[in-house]
Amino acid sequence: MSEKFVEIKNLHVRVEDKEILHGIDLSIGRGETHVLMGPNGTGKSTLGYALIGSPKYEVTQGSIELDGRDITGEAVNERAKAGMFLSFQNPIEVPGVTLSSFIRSAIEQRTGKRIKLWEFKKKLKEVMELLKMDEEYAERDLNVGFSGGEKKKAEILQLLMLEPSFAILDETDSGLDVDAVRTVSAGINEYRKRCNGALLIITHSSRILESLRVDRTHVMIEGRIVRTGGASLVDEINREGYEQDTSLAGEVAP
Amino acid sequence: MEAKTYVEDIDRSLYDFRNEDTDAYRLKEGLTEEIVLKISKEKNDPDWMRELRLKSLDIYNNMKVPDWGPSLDGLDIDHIATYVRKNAKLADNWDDVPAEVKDTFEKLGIPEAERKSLAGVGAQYDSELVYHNVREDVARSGVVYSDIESALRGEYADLIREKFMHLIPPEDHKFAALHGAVWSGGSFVYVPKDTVVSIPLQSYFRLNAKGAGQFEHTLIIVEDGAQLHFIEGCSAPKYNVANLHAGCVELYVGKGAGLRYSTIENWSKNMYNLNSKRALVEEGGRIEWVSGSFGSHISYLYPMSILKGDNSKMEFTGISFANNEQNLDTGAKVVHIGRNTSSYMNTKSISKGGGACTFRSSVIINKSAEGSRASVSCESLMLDSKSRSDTIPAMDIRTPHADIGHEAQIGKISDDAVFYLMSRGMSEEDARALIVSGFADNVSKELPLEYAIEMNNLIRLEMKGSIG
Amino acid sequence: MITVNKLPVRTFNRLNMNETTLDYEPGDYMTYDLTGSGRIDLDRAGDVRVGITLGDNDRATVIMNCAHTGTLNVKTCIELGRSSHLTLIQVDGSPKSGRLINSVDGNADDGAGLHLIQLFPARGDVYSDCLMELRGKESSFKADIAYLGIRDQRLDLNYVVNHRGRKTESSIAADGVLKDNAFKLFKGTIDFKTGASGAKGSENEKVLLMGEDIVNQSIPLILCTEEDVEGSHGAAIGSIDDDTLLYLESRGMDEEEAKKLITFGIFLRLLGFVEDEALKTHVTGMIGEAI
Repeated sequence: MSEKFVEIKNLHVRVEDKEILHGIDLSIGRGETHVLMGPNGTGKSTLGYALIGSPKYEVTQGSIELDGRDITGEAVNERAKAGMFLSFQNPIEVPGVTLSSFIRSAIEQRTGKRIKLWEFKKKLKEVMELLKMDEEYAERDLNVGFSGGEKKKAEILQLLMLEPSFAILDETDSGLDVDAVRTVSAGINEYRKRCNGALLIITHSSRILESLRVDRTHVMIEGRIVRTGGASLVDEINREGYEQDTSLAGEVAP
Repeated sequence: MEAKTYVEDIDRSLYDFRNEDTDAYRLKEGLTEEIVLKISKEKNDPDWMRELRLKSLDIYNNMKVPDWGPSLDGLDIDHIATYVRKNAKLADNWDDVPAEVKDTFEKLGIPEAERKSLAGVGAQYDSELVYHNVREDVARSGVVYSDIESALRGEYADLIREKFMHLIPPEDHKFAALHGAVWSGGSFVYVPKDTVVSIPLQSYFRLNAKGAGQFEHTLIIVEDGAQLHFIEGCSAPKYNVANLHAGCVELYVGKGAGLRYSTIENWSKNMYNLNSKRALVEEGGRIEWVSGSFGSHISYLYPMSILKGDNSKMEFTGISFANNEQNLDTGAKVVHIGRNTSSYMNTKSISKGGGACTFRSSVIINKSAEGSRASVSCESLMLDSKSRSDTIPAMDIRTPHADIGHEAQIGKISDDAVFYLMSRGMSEEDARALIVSGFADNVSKELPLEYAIEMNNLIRLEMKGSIG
Repeated sequence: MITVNKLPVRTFNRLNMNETTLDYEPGDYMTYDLTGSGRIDLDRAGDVRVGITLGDNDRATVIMNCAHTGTLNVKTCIELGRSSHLTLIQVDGSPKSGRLINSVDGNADDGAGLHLIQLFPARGDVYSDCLMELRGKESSFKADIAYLGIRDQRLDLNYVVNHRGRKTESSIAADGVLKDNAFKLFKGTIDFKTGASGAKGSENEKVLLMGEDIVNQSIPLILCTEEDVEGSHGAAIGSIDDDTLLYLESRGMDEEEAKKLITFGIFLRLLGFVEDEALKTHVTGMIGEAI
């Protein structure tokens, strides 16, 4: 088992001529859950998109390694095939393609193998039950007409079906009611149990973390990680907010 | 069924006053070679211009009236006087303008606006400019703002010959040909390289004579890196015979230059407004059209932008308000030629009291225009069920590397909104007028304050007596 | 010569969108008359007239499957009695040498509805015209169109809905993909006539442009002489949008696969209405071959 399964070194990211991330260092071991917290607009989602390789986010310096392989220049789909997964804040609607057929073809893309239909259906049904998703969603067009909560669940469904080795969950808890947050947390725990993957949870609240075991917590302010701590840091921030970190950001600024 | 009352006659006295056209020089009605030659002689045209006029007349005689727009049956060119001149010389001092003409423009607020917020003003009365003035500091920076006739003999004579009716050739359509044959008056504007004219220039066109036509030509050249805002206003008193306006506006926007062309058109409701406007935009240049159409009996008006240079841009913001007896067929056209060009059209239309509005557009994206974007958005408001509102947008895309979005909506004033405003103490009429003004704010917020106020007054005027 | 696909009001002649003239002379018509569900297979060139009449409260589904070579000219006239409902599925699966000249004329009485589903995965040129008269109050029309244009194919589609009755509703959704040097002209008109108070109409067009030499023309009209109506039109034309592409790529697909998926999606959305498995397989097979 690699100690540093995910290794992000001095990552600088630019969006339309503006640098958003100013040198991020982060390593996540297999089976570890890291939390990235910070106020709105601080660059957390930028990190998610940059890691998955969105062409809108330009890496100007630094590198991203996954399981010892440098993927900094790789195309999005190659990163996905290498085991990376990003849950989107606003998943895209694709008319005509059902959720079930989409997941099936995504699995086949990843593995390059045909998957047996009954095995697939059985697993899909089981995971949907876990996520308390109505079975009919499997046959509905991908994300079309889904409520915000259903879209988030559909992302977790894909997480559990695709079994990535490194998953980034971007604000998966936002806009969810208490029950839905609990269900999504159960889904995430299930992922950890099954896949022993590296997990980076991006959030600016802490509701989703209540039932999860967190290994490391990072605080991002203005495109920099200003503080890293254990699970207790989540509670601390809950109590005290980011005031201390904001002043820290001032100190490290050039 | 909801009961509705209508007031047919709206007080337009602000614009509707008229002067007797005594002591005016007026060519007889109709269109013949003799008349065209007389105009040419009267204006002391250079040879090439006389030839252009005769060629245009020939084209006019051999072209069909458009078969796709509002009916032009009520327009008989044999009963239109194509040239009417007040016995007055072009003045650059307001005191030298004849009293009744001065009176007209003073009622319309022209000299007042000049003092307050304009860099230069031109005022055309019937076929000729009667007043022209440009602020000294602006003139010193090399900006030319004059009537076309004197420009034809001035420093930029060759430039004008090269550009005049090149964007809108007489072959373009029947009324462009008519314009070519009998054009008179209008403005020439030249903004030298990298010169920024920070306050607007304005031309005001007033057609006073009965049964006459106005055919002014506006030619604006904004050189590379320069900036200009040009405002055009038009009005006329109402007669019970047809008047015709077939002006031509040709705009040349240089590399990295910017031109905003704003129009508040308030012709009287016997006017056939068959106007042509076109802009050619070079690399990185930008043309912005702001257009308010309130007057005229029938309008055909579709300012066209040719985005020739890479990264050139066009923005069109328009509003049309058609009331009783009006059929306003307006919109815009754009042709994307350069790479990464972008166009954005946003229009609103309001139909009331039996009036008809048509939004008509054409967006053409050539194969060469890779990376281009076009967006068209139009909203129409129907204020009653005896009016008409049509939306006819066309798109022709020939490259896969382009992004085109289009949305159109039609509907009525929300009863809930009227109810809400009335619950705060407003009368129904005021509530409806307020909602319509708000609907029109895409245009009013693009206009200088004085014009925005004038436009809102026009809307209020048109909304009077509409109780739904 | 025949003239088809006329725009109800004309516009700039230079656009060449006002009507289409075809080099074709119809001969004798073969006729079919239906008063309920049925299937018509048209596998030869020629002229066909189809009459579909539904009585009050009837419900029916008619499938029309074209697999002709040469020119097939089909005119379908639909009369819908009160509260009746017809689903008409037209599939053009003809080879390259086929040309389809299709027209659908419909009349709906009070509460009646027509759902027109057209699938054009064809290789040959398609000229399709539709005029729907929503005469009865609360009558409705829904058109769902999917097309795939490849090589030098021409697709010329025209839909006109006249809202005459009160509270009538219409929606037209045309989704398609253009590849190679395919040409498509989509015309759609929602016409709210005086008296159609409470009527609603919408048009939606999505076109994915995938060929370097494509021509995509659209002209979506809304005509209106009634105050109390809601009409809307939306169009999105271009290559696959960045966000969709990123999402699909983040799940492991490359751009080609993402495009294929979306193209299939356009047809699969409508194939859900087709219960004939063989026909479904035929259509998906044609798309698979084309992309």
